[in-house]
Amino acid sequence: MSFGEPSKFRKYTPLVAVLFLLGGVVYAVRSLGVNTGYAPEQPIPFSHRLHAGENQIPCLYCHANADKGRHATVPSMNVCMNCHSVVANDKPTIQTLKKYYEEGRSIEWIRVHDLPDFVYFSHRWHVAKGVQCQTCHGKVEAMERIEQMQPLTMGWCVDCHRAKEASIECGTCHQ
Amino acid sequence: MKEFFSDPREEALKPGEFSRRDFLKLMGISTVLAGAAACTRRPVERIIPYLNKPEEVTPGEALWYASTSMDCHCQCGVLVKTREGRPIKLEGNPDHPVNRGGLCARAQTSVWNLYDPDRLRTPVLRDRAKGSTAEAGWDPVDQQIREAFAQINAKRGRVRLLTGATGGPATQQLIGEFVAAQTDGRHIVYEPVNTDEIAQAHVECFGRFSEQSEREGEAPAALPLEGATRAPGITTPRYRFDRADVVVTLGADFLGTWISPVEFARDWAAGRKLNGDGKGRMSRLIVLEPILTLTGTNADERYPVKPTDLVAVALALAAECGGTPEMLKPFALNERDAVGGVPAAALKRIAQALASARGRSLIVAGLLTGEQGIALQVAVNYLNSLLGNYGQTIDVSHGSRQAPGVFADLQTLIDEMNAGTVDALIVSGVNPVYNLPIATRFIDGMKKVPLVIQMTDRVDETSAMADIVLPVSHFLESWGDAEPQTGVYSIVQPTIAPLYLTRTLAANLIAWMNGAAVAAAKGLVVPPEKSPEEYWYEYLRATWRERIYPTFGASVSFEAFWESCLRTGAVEMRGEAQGGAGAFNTEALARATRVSAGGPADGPVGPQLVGYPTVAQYDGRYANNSWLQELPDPVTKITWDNYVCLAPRTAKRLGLEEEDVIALVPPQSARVPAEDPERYSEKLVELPVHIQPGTHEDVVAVPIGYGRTAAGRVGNGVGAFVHDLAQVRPEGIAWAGLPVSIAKTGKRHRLATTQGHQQLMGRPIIQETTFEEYRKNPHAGADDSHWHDGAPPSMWAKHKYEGRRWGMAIDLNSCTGCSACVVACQVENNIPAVGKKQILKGREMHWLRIDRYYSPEEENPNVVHQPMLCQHCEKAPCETVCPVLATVHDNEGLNLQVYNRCVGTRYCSNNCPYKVRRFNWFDYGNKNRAHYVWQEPLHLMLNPDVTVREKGIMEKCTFCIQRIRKGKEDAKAKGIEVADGAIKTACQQSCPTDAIVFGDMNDPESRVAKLKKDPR
Repeated sequence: MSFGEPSKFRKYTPLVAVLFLLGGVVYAVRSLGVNTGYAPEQPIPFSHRLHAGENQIPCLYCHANADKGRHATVPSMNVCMNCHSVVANDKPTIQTLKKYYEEGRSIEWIRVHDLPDFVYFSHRWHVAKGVQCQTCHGKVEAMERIEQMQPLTMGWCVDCHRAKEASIECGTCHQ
Repeated sequence: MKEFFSDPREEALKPGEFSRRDFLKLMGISTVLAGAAACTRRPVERIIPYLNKPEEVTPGEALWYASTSMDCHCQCGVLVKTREGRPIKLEGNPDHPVNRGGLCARAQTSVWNLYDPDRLRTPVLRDRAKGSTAEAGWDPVDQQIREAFAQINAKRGRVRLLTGATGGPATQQLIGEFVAAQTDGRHIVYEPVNTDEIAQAHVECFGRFSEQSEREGEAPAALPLEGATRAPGITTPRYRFDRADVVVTLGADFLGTWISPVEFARDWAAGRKLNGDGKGRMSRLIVLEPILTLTGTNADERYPVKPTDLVAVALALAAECGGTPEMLKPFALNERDAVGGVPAAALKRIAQALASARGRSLIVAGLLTGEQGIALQVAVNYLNSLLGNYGQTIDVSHGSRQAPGVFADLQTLIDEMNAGTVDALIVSGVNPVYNLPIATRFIDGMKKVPLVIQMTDRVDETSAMADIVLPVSHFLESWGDAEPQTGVYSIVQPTIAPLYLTRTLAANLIAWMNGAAVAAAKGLVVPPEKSPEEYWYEYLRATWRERIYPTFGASVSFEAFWESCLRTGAVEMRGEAQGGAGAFNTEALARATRVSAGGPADGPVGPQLVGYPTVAQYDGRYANNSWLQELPDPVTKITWDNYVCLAPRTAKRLGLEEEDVIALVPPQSARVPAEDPERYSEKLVELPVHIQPGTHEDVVAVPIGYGRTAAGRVGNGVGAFVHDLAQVRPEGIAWAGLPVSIAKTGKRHRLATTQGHQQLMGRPIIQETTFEEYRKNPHAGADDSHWHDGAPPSMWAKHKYEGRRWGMAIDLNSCTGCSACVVACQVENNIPAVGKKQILKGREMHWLRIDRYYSPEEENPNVVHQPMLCQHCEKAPCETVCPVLATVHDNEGLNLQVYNRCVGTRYCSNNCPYKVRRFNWFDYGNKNRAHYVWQEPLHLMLNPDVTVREKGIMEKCTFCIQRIRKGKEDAKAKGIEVADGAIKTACQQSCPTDAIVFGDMNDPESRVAKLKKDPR
């Protein structure tokens, strides 16, 4: 191979381009629908760092359904008001919360951790098996704003199921 | 030839450099791809928490309420499954005395009616002269109606209330009070398909036995309905098919549409259960009928008889069974070979079977209405009385109120209206303008009523002639009660707050009577600011406290009693039948003999019309319900249409083929109302021909309940309107045995059927044997000669199941083909109805269908039904051909379909020997697409536990995998193993005859494992 004959390399340029392109496609497709890092701004800047971290409120105090059913559930407004009828009343965001509650409206939170509709996932049995909330949701107690830390893809789920010898039958999650 | 070996622009580049063009290309692509990756965040979803979460709600978990199905006439008990406050599924209530667990196809789809997008949402005021409409609020409407009633009552005017089947003691009493509060009020009950003939015949044959038994009867029957109109259906007895060894039906489709089909199917099948030891009891069903009904398909012996011969056949049987009256003489068999086409030998055999089962036989009749119908019922009553069946298989002390209707009352109302003496007509829950033939002159009469108030769930045919159209709450939104049979008190409780500005009939009556006054009269303390609906709730409770609670003694408080009623759905206060019906008045027989005056087989010559209600559409009230429109008729397997059923021989004689359109020319008297003959002279009915084996040669049969013009977006214009073909007679509206002529039109109309081939053609798809053979050898009929080691041969290795292994057994001996399971499956699994056009292309989505096969005898075939769903094959052919492993076998024996893996090659469907796999040709579940099925608010009834499938993927029966999971999770939470019977699939739950059994085949004690060992 001689560097004096550049045309030899040049004829590989299309191939390189195609490979580059294919790589791009594969990369893009693999990351389709993966929302790691998604951290949208919420209607009220609720801080898990403050509530779960500093004040050490147990996760299940607010997400009371996580050990009972499929959905962990975002707490109903009256749960917020349990404390906030007296706590931190002077803050504008709490006043917004109160206003909502008094008007009979609910806060429309933006969903962060979202599985596709064809997946059945039940918090109840994961909690019952002792899976830590942080395993899937990350260090929530350190987050100022909630962010998706794990890919929540099928491969990621199955890896854990394999490691823990949980069922990997298709029907376990797809019904 | 190229001018340069390489591009001259590239010649200038140094090695390893990209040209500008290439660079730009790559840049562009990278940008696009990066953009694509970044933009893949799904549409932002929001989480909206409860303001105050109700204590009993756990999001993601179902809550169940007991109620009563009021969309249909049977008033079966239901358990309503709600998710996050939305009712999504109805199931039969196993504790309910009427249906005891099963539920028919019609009742299953009630959730569709609740969420029907075409429901009326606010009160509407109409100007009849101009035809203009205006929405209104309830307060001004109430005000207007109260003032109108005050004026009418001041001049002693007439107020008439027309309803269908209404409800239990509280509803009845309230209606009674409303009627009594008017100076001249009356309540008329008329269900379009009713038991008037049975009731009339019983009064003629036995006098007013029902009132007698009410006096003598136990506590509930003795409760006087003071001030209330008596339920007219009470003279219809309760038929006990479970006690009958021999059942003869003359036209009554008791497994399909007659009075209380779920109850009857269950009772009847109970007498035919075999347990595999060659013993078991097998009741006998003999069917004599003009058309092939669902009951006829289940007959042990069946004879086509034309409608006008039915009475003669019944009388001949009576004579043969030892009936002595002089007037029976002309009907005796004597030397004749046949009566009405039924061979004398057969009649003798039937008579013998009946005589040998005295007190254990049951003869029922239906289909015929009007004077023919009464005559037939009289003859049948005589037979039953002769055979000592009253008090045994016929319970007159606990009569049925399920399909009430008194034609005489209706006729009086029509006469009054036409005379212009009715000042206000309130129509509730019925649609007389559609259902009643024009010749009843109901429409003419309605025009002369100055104030017509209608309570309806939609703007229907009757609304077009009303002044005030009021939206009525669906029963899933209402408090109420029901009394389907004497002594059975059933609760209707709301499962969702009213979706729109609707009110119940009862609340309306209370509002118009002045709620405070009603409450005061009842001794209730209700704050005056309460709404009529809240008054009604208090009224309902008070009535139950007064009338039903006392019979339970003081051992429980009323609150505890009420709560237990809400939990169980119904209280049963009836015991054994209180004796027979009393002496048969033989004079009544004269009516029967008069109808067949010239002796047997004396009907009009030529074709006879039979109009009959179908399992799916009944009287037409469900027309806007896609699930029911697309439910294949259990007999004809046709969807989305009505048609003319002709016997194969008749069609051949007339030179007609399937789908040829013919015109039916109605009998003269039906066509010409008195004053205006021209209006209706051109009213021919054009319908496609359906060649139906088993139809009597002289019969032209048409399903009623089609041809709606104001049902809504689904039901309008489906099929042809045939109700004007009926004849109006003094005794009732005659629907069978009418002369009719047929004219060819030369047109064709395609019928969307779900089964293209009707015969087994010697293929061992269904293996059959007779009861006699079975008693000799329980294994008779089963062909397993090619099996090895107890299983069919296979080249594949066996699966191993270490834990559970799910399996299902369907007892074809119990399956009646009623199709309740088909609809139950659709509701449970979010299965769309796809419309006639798609059905014509064979693209129906039913996961569970029922195949119906005829034996080769066309004139009177034997019929078998075979529910067909995914068999979850042990060595499934679909699994081996899927290129992407989207369908796989799991460790519990299920054949899984993984939607997100499926790429839609359809190889699996092609390789499925049962043809049970369904392909999504369109995006039925995407609201942005044209084929969207769950139009708002229908999407609220989707089952959140089942994936809504998208375009281009395959789907099929999952054995209700979501229910299996629920059963497993429930057991896990309790720390126990899954009990046999704890997991029921949707089809199994709905089955009235308990033909479907699901369970763990690895558990030797499970029902399904035992059934698998059954030599059958």
